[in-house]
Amino acid sequence: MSGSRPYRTGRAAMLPVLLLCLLLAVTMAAGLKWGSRVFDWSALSAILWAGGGGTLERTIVLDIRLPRILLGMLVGAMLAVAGTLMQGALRNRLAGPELLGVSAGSSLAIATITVLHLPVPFHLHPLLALSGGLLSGGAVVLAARSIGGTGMLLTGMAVSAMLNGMLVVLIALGTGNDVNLLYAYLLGSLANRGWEQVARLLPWCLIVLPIALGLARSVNLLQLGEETAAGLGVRVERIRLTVLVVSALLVAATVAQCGPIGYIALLAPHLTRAMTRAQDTRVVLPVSALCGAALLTLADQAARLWLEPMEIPVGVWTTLIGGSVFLLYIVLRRGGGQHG
Amino acid sequence: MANGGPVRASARRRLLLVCGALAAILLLLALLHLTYGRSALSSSDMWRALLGTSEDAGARHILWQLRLPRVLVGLMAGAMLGLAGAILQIVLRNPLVEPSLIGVSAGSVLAIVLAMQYAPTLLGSGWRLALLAMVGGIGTTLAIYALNGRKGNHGARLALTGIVATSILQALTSLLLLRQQQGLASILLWNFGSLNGRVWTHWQSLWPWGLTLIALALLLARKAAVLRLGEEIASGLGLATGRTRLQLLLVAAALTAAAVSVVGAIGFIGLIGPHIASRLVGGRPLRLFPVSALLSAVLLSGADWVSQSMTLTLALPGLEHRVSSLPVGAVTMLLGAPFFLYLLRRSRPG
Repeated sequence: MSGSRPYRTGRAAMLPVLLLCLLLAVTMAAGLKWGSRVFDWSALSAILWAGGGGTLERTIVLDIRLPRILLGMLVGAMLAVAGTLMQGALRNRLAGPELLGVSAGSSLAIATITVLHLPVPFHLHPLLALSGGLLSGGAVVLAARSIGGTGMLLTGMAVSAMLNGMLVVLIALGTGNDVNLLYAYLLGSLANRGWEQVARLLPWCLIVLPIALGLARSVNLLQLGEETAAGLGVRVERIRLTVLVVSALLVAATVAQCGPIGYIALLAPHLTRAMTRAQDTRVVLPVSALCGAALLTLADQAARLWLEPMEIPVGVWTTLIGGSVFLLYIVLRRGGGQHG
Repeated sequence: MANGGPVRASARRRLLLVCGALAAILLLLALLHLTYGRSALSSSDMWRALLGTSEDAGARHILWQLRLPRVLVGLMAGAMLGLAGAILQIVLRNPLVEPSLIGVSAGSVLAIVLAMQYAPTLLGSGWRLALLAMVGGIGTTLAIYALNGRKGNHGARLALTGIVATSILQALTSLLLLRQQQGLASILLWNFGSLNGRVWTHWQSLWPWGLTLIALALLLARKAAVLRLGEEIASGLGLATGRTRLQLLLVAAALTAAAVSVVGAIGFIGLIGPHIASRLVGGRPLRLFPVSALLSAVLLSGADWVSQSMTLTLALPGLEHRVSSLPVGAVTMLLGAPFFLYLLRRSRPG
């Protein structure tokens, strides 16, 4: 990769950060204003700041639209951070939770709980999702250790296919025609979520994101290559394992609330690196969190508003757009890639 | 070369043996399928219906109108998918490819769903549906082939491109189906593949395509054998390699599309069948093609039987009184994905 390039400081990141904040603010405002009921700006600000508006209006804005946007931001940020960490730790720019089987494992765990009505309290769901994600992700990483980057992705996809097969078995056997379950466990959606989900996600976010930021320095060293990192006194395997567990944790927490939302984790780091021209994980990590938040809220609001009143789960859109970009990237990279 | 005669004779004997055994298994599976299914009627009733001695109209209806067409569709679709897989593996010189892995199935499904939504009048009869599916399947094949370029078709990269393309096409299909408010049932049907509710009309729209294309593929087997020797040797022997490759690709895509237009995107059958077949009779297309078709028919039919009878025995908490049918695509996925992993590890040592 480009480990030899001198790391830049965060100054080059200022403009992208400002732009992303602007994008996020615009998306948020648009998401609050439009929908099956359109508010004008003064009414909106009255509801938000002055406690105005009727009960119905307040419910729509404060209990339906606002938590959804916040949830989208949190999930997007967590996914993007997870993607950045994975790509750094595995030194593979194509790595992402959806391609390594982590998302599929987590959603299978959550689906098992829901479909079979297992008596598990809600706040433990992320932990079970984590164990599912870690099991499948760990299996993929271990199984593919010797076969290089592309091989690892293919292994991940095969494992995902297997887990998705089990998921379909579970849904088909368990629930007949429950479309909502499919949205939640196969496609990934932010619809019909409220403050409850935000509250469940927030602790994970607050605990794990700082840890992830703390790992940025180690990821920087890992990016230099295994031998260089070991020469600099890094315990490569242990750090790598920590990083993977942390990113699996981030993904699992989001999957427990929203299902597997694809390709955000893959796309956000790439976009960030392209925008900031930085390789330093200490810069890339926070900016890509912002980028992921902006991307996911944008995609979600587009999914909500474009085909109104129909709603397509946001996971479909992110797969469509993110997958296409990813495909383009694989094809263009062919010349220079050394990983197969 | 001097002792080519006896070797060839023993290989032929082996081929006959394998084919005979497969045909026997096929027959056995069909009987199993017909008589041991999920219904209130006992299997002795079904046997009587099969032998024509039953007075029970219900049993006769179940056997002749519901189970038999399903068995036949399963066998034909399995054979077509297996053959398509075998052809693709030879043409692309890549052991990891399979119709559903390189996006052919997903492209076919997308074409069908598009037509269902925007031009339902086009779908008058089954053969038109298959034709539309072929447009989608062939288009996707050519696109993937072109995206990878001639050099990139080796190794795992083609599979990676194909899988990503598949997920994009599947997302598009889900999008269209969701807009149409058809929801889960049809997404499962099309994206995973299912044999549930296949009746005689499905069989009628499948068999003409199936027989024609299988015959065509077997006719091309000799050329495929030459192609398998490598680009330079093949063109040295006077084969128009580019044209042959294109012909084979088109036949494989058409086989897949015709099968998919009836049963949906059933995955991994075209991967497992040909690989086991090449273990049994070697990699020469003249033997490989028919054996992988037979073997894949056995596999799909067996997987279908498993998926049908699974609900009989499964007693998970909360599921006891559910009666629903599992799509066979889920079962083939569960069987096929580990197999893919095994191939992946074997194909890239070190």
